[in-house]
Amino acid sequence: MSRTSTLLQLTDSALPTGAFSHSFGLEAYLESGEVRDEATLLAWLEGFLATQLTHTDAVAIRRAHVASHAEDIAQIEALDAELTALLIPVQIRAASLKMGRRLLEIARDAFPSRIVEEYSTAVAEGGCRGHYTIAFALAGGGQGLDEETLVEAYLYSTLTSLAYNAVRAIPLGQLAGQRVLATLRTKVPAAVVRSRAADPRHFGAAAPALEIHQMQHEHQRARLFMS
Amino acid sequence: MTLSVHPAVPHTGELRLRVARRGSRSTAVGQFTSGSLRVLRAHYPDSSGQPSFTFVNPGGGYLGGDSYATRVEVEEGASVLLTTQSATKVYRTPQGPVRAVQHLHLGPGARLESVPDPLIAYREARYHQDTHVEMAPDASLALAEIVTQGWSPDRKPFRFEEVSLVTRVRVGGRFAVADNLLIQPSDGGTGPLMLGGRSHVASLLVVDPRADDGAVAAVRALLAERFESPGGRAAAHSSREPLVGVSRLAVPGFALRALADSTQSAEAVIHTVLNWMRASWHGQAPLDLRKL
Repeated sequence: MSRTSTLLQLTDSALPTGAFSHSFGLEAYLESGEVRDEATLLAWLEGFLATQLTHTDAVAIRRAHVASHAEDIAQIEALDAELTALLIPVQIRAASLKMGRRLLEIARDAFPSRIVEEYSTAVAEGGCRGHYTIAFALAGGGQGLDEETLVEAYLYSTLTSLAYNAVRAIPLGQLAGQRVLATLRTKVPAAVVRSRAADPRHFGAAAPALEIHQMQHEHQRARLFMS
Repeated sequence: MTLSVHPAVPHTGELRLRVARRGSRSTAVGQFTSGSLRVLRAHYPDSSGQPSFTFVNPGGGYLGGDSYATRVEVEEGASVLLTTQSATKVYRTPQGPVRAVQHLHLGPGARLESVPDPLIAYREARYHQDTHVEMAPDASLALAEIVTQGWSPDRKPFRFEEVSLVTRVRVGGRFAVADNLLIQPSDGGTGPLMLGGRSHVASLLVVDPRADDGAVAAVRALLAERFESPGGRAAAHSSREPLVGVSRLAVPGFALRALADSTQSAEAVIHTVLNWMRASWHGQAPLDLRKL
């Protein structure tokens, strides 16, 4: 089995997880005009990578991967509860659960493994809520993808979805979108390294201005995105 | 759950307080302080029977390697307001971060409001605060925090190393909320997504069975009326009203964040919401934090 093909299918932006309907607070920055062109989009995505993606998502992927490798469902349950508690803005929590449950459903058919099955059962029985980062780590980890590859793939594919969403919403030219992604590609490896050495007490640390925008999105008047 | 302070090392300051309901009033039924933490005699700012306790650090400021331990137990049906006498100032900490650990226990129907003065971190300061809350499902919790920078000789903003506030709340024995605020200025930690060019971060965490979607909508409407200029959010940015967000937690409760340009502005946001809860849920007078 080719791990590269597995990785490509898992991170395909057309994988039907619903990522195209989430902006994780970006839409509130579009509304305020703080993000309006290629340069401001790139700066926002770099900020998102340095904060939420590095402090929360990358670390959650690592913890879930370690637990999946050990087939330790208790550790996964604890991480699932931790994520529910620390994803404070309601739309961010809801996005993680909606995309997580959808990816789990996909994984049962397309990336099956014992740990995917166990997490799905725990979600179905109510012991777990079903978060996206955990589902991603178990789907990939269950197919033998290593931790560093999974973290890098998660960060880059999340930025890709966000960039495509922004190209539609701003709107920006397709080439501008690709230039933004090419620059981000050079920033992802450093974030992967940073997340490996992350201080455990910083897990889930929020970026206050980002969080406020994510909260304000809940009552934004015209919305293209669910978060 | 591990304490970040080794038990064999005596704390720089330690404070334990137990509050119980006696008739129509709540009162201290146990109190212990040692080292550089003191508590002023309770006073009753209004007719609700809720005592206000003022915590004091006679040393004036926190230094590297200092450790502080606080434990407050609010027994069934009792109510308490905790505040401080003045801002918590954290100076250079070359010996390691200042560590403050707080344990808060709220029994059935108990209520705790914590409204300290701002935490001011100076050049090369590191501050780690861990707050562990254990509360009954029908208890009421409101924890406010304001963090800002201290003056530095080179007049550049944000010269401290790190402020890390971690709050973990268990409701009815179940882990429910983890609130993690981290500001690391040297590590890109004051960028646009972090502080948005503002100098003060304010946070209010409320866990209360009354804090449902309707309460969040009411708080939001009140904040919009007070702190947004008529032109909407874009105009609010230019006139430097505080930037405010509120969201529902996974349990009954909400988190509020605000970024502001002054202590007064940050406090105005927090007090507006605390006073709304006081009036709507408790028929209580607005906060009166006059310093004794």
